Order: sequence, then structure tokens, then C-alpha cells
Amino acid sequence: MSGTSQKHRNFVAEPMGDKPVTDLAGVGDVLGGRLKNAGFDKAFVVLGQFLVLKKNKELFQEWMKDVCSASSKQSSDCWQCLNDWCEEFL
Amino acid sequence: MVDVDKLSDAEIRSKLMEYGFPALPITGTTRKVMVKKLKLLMENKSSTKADGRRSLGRYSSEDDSDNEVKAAKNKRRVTMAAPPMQPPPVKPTLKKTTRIVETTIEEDIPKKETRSNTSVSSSFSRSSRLVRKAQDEFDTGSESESEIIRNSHNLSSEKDNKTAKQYPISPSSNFGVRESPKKTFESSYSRTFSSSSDRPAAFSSPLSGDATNERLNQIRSRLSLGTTGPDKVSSYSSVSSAGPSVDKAETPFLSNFTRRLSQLSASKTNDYTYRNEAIKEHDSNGATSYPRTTQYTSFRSTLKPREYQYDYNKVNRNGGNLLKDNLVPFTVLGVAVLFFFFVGFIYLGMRSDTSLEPTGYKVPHCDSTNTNHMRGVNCVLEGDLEKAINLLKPLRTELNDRAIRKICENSKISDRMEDKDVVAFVQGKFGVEESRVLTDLRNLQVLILKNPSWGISIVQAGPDEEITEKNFVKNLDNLGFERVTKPISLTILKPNIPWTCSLTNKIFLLTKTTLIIVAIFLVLYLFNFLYKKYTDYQKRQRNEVICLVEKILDILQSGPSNEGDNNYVVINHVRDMIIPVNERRAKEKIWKQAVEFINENESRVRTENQVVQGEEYYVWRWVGSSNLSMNTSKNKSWQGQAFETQTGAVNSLPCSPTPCLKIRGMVEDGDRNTQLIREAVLSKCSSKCRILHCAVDTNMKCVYLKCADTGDAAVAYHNLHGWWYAGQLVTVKYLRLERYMQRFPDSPISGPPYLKATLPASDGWAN
Repeated sequence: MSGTSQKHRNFVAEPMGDKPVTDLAGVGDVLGGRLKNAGFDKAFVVLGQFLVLKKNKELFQEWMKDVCSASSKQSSDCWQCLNDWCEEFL
Repeated sequence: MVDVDKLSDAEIRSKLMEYGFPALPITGTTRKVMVKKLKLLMENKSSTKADGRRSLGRYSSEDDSDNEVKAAKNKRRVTMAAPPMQPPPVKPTLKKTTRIVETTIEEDIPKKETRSNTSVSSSFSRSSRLVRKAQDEFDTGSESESEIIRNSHNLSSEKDNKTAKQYPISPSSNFGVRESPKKTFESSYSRTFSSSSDRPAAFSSPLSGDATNERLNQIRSRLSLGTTGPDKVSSYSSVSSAGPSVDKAETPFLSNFTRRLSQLSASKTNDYTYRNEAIKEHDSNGATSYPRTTQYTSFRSTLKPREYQYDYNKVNRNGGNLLKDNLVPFTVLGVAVLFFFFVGFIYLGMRSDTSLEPTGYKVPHCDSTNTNHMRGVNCVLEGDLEKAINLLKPLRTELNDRAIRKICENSKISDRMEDKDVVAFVQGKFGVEESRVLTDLRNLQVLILKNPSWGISIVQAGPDEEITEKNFVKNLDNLGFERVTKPISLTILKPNIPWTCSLTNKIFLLTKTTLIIVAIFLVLYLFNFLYKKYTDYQKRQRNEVICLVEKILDILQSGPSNEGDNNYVVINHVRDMIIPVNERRAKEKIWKQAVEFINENESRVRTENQVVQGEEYYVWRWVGSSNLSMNTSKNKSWQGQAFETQTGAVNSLPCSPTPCLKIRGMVEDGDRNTQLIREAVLSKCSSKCRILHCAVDTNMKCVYLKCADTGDAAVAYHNLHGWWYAGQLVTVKYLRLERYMQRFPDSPISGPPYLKATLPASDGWAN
């Protein structure tokens, strides 16, 4: 992976607070909309799911694919983002 | 195949655990993913036959990755447990584990090949294939059975189910004598898994090296984890089943299996608990090595041998580390020791090893035809030769002894032997009559002269005379009359000194030389030190004098210029103005030098004798023009305020942040008169605020001021900022306390005493 995206860096830089789910790296408007429909409207809800899955990347990707039909790139970005955030703030 | 989707959350969870998947919460959101996972695992399980090699690679990768993270065990375990059951297509998504898989597969394949060459493993794999089929059956059936197991709540029922399936297939020869169905189950079960995974290659050398130890550690950690799946156990048991006895594998596996079951049902047989405990104990040991082939039986009976083994290994490892860590220092030490030994041997070897035995010697026989020959002077008769040689041996030893005693013990005994000494010595020792001895001695002296290789010298010198080249006797002919005054004596100049003595002598000499050299250096250093001190002192004196002169000039310049005639200052008053009371006596000498300097070198000052208030004083009169430009610039005083610094002003802070100030614009280039500047600052402020410390830095051209607190600093700031001083605008800045303390570490932290101006505030501008 050649570096991280600006979105990733922005997210990892600070506590997530009440950030919307679209602030997560790899989650755009389309995925964000789907996640909201599934009840995951805030980034911390996704974080909760991430933690319930014990930070397991594979399972998390599987879940992302299932709930919002994310591509492996998108879900990988999202997982990386949450993982880095956790390393920083958890 | 049972429809996994219909299982309850708890069932899915236990099912996953059965497959060695970490226990995750099954919630509404995760259920779907878990079900998918479970399906994948079940599919994968049935296709392990084709995947044997891959699983091998994965297994070893796991081991290697286990090395990396031991501290984060809990976190690791979760991920650790997952990889072996990953289906091949999922593998690339797992970054950490797969990376290692790819590298380690290559390492392990050759191992596996060599392993498969051995008859044991080949036969084993053959039989295992048989069992694998059974295992497949078992797997597919297990879902339906699991309900039965749970319903019955009976441990043995499940076992019986499984043994019923396994027993007919497994070759009975492998299992040896097995009476209880339980045990057969154990073995068959372990075999089943070992065969299904087909991974003995990773353990091709079970007892060698750290890799094995780490694998065992990993296995053990999993055993204690409780969430371990059969696959790990299988890898473990496969190792031991590859060995001569299947027995070896069963206990660890069994305990693990029972533990897993114990989570489902509470019932446990006594035998199981015993084994469980045994395993627990063993796990808590955290031993590094698990020597199955030798230790197994003892393990079953008692745990002591294991502990012993553990300790042994630990000690071994520590010892190795000690040597390994300190390899370089040890090497250096060894080389140094060798070097010194070498030098010592060389030194000992250098000493001439002259033997006492006169092997070959020249004998000047007396020839009756030769008229020059004189018996006892330059030739020896044949008959006397033997006696002389006989005399030589004890004499030589005695001479050597004497020389050594003289050199080593520093005794008073002379190392020379005169004739009478020789006679006394020989008579005392052998009881030979004197005339005989003297004759032999004469002959011997002739021989000694002819044989310088004996190392004996004949000296003609007084008893107190030093032996030099000059008084060596070269020829017995010309001894002459001096024989009476200066008796000839025998001596050994270079005796065979024992090495302890020579060593002591050398060390003594060395010490003496070193001491002398050190003493010389010390003296030189002392001289240098004193010289430096002296020059330093002189320099300081000169500086002080010049400083004093400048002060005097300043006072004279700015001094009373009221009337034309009274433009003078009493010298002693100037002194009293400049030098504080307590330093007057100490600085008297400097003051005199300064006065002398002014009298000799200052043309603008004239020394006069004036009557001041009825008393005669020597006074200085400033005769230099007061209109000179330098005069005005030298007029160091407060000249007025340039701008107001009110509390509400833009540039002044409402309250002072620090108690320290930095004042610019008061010190000029090359200004030595720091005392005056300090005085000026103090006279300006000290009446209104408490000042702890004031210092003038001519390099930075700043005055540093430290007040008692921030309020005082604010007062000082307002009194100094924006004033004219000696034609320059003074600006003040606040300085952080820590910077101030950095610059002046010995400045006082709190008062009193507070600094006060020695002169009262003389400027009319003070408000």
C-alpha cells in the first residue's frame, strides 16, 4: 500500500466523536447511505461492529460486503482506518 | 449436511469453536458473517485431503508467527487460532499470516520430503489415509451427532459414538494393548486428526532446536487456552504418532479434548480430571522443551522429570547466552592474557642460560722446552689440572651464590673472593690443607683467564673499590707489587639470577622510574598551573584597575560642574563612592594603582592639593573640555521618558507573566562600566519594587533583572520601558523564569535581601 489517503489520516488524527459514517476511509456516499439504511449511521457504530468482530480483518470485510456490498478495497481501507484509530485512541 | 442457518447463536458458537475458530459474540449483526464462516470451514474440512500440503505450510507459518508476538498473547491467540482453518481462497486476505506462509512453505517442503522417505512416516501416512476417510465420515456426521451428544449430556456417549466409527478402521497393531474403549478412542481420535492434517514434516526433528520448543510452547498455550480446536491437537499428536509409540500423543490431546467437551457438558470422569490437572500443571510450567520420545512415560507417572528437564534446558540456554553475549569481551581478555604469557616466556627465554658445567675448556699445558712458561702463572701442569677443575666447581657455585645474595638480598657480603676467602671456604668445606689449596687456586686462575666462557673474572681491586673494566686482570704476569695492596679476587659479574629475584629487581626499577617520571610531570604541571594562576591574577588586577579608572573618569566627568573653581573631587571621596565599605581594605592596592595610573596617564585630570572645609585634601580636577562629544554620550543618566507605558497601553501587558525582565538599550559597545548601569537601574526601580538580582551582560548588551514577584516586575517594567538613558531608548521585555535561571543559575530565588541602590535616586525624573 503506497501511503494512506487524506481521509484516513483525517480520521486517525483525532477522536471520532460524533463523526458520520462517511468520514471513515473507504466509505463514500453510496456505501454510507447503505450503512445508514442498515442502522450504522455513525462511525462509532461501525467501530462497535469492528470491535465485536474482534478486529478480525477477514470477518470485518465479510461483514462490510454483506451489509453494504463493499469491495474488498473499500472494506480493507475501512478496516485499516478503524484499526489505526484503535491503536491510537483505544 | 445440516442447515447451518437454522442453528441457534450458541450452537453456531460452539460449532465454530469445534473448528478451532476463536469465540466471537454472535449477535444480530455478526450472525450472518459467522454462519458464512462456519459453512466455509465445514467445506474446507471436507476438502483437507487435497489441501494437506497447504495445511502443512500454514501450520508452520503459525509457528513462526508465534515467535514474533509472545507478549501480546491474548490478541495473538485469536488470530493464531484462525489461520489453520482458513480455506485457501480466503488466505490472501489475511495479511500477517499469509505473508509468512509463503516463505515457510518453501522451507518446510524439503523437510517433508526427507521425512516421507523414512519408512515410519510412509507407513504412517498410508495408515493415516485410511483413517482420514473415516474422519471425513466422522466430520460429515458430526453435525447430526452433536445434538445427540448434547441431549445425552454424556461424555462417554460421544466417545463411544466416535470410537464406534473409528475403531474398525484403525489398524489394531498400532494401538497396542488397549483394554478400555476410552483409550482406544483417544488413540484413534488422535490418529484421525493427525492423519487428516498430515503434518509430521514440521516436526521432523522433534527434539532439536528452538523451533521445536516454540512449537511446543504454542501447542501448550493452545492447550491452556481452552478454545483450541482439534486441528492443533492433531498437529501435535501427529508428531508423536510418527514416533515409535502412539501412546505419547494421547495424553495432551486427550486433556485438551476433554476440556473442550467439558465446556459443553459438566460431567467428567475422574481419570479425565486427573489428566487435565496433569496437563494444567505442565502448562503452567511454561517449559521450553517437551521431549516426548524420552519423557512420555515418566510424564504419565509423575511430573518431576519434566520439571527437571525444564530446569536443565533453562540453565543451558542461560549459559549459552552468557557466553554468546560476552563473546567479544571474553575474546579480548583471552588475547590479553595470552599476550602477557607470551611476553613473559620471551623474557624468560632471553636470559642467557649459562650452565655451570664447564664442558669444554682450553688448558695451557706447561711445556718444559718453552722458557716463557711459568708454572702457576701462565701454564698448568698436567697433574694439577684435575685438582684445579675440582676446585672450580664448588668455587663457582659459591661465587654465584654470593653474587646473587649481593644483588637480590642486598646483603653486605662481598661478591668477590680473595685468596684467603677461597682458602677459608675450601678448608671449611673439604678440610684440604692451605698450601694445596693455594696451588690449585693459582692453577685455576690461569685456567679462568684462558676460559672467559666460564663467566668468572679475576679482579685486582681494593675491597671498597668498584669493579670496572680497568682493574680486570688480563695477565697473571704483570700483577706486580700491587698484589699486596690490591689483592686479586674472583668474582662472577653476570650471575645466574633466579627469575623471582630478577623480576623483583625489574619491577622495583620500573616503579622507581615511573615514580620519577610522575614526579617530574607533577612538578612541571605545578609550575604550569602556578604560572597560569599568576598571569590570570595579573590580568584580573589590570582589568580591575582599568575598570576603576573608568569609574573615576566617569565620576569626574559627570561630577560637580557647578562653579568654575570648585570643579574638583576629593580623591578619597571618589574612592568611597566607587568601592563599597566592606571591600575598601581589600582593594586598597588596586585603588593605589588606579590613582597612579590616572596621575601618570590621564591628561584630562589634574591632581591638586585643595583645602576642603578646612582640611587639606588631594583632589582631582577635571580639566578636559566638557563640550567634547564623548562627554555628552558618556553622561550616563536617565534623561526622560519617551512614551507613556500605562496599564491600558497596547504594548504593555495588563499583568506581568514572569518576574524576570530583559532590558535593552542601556549597555553600549565595549562598555566596561557595568556597575554604573546596574546602579542606574537600581536607583530607578529599587525604591518602588523588590529586586532580587540584577546583572549586566556586555556581550548581549542587555541588563537582566529579577524581581521578587510578577507584580514587582510589572512596576519595574513601567519604570524602565520607554525611557531615555544616555541618549538611547530603553526597551524592556519579559523573560521567562526558566530562561533566566538557565542564564543565572545562582541568582537568588526569593528575598530578602533585596537589592537597593547605593546612591539615592538622584535623577529628577523619578515619579
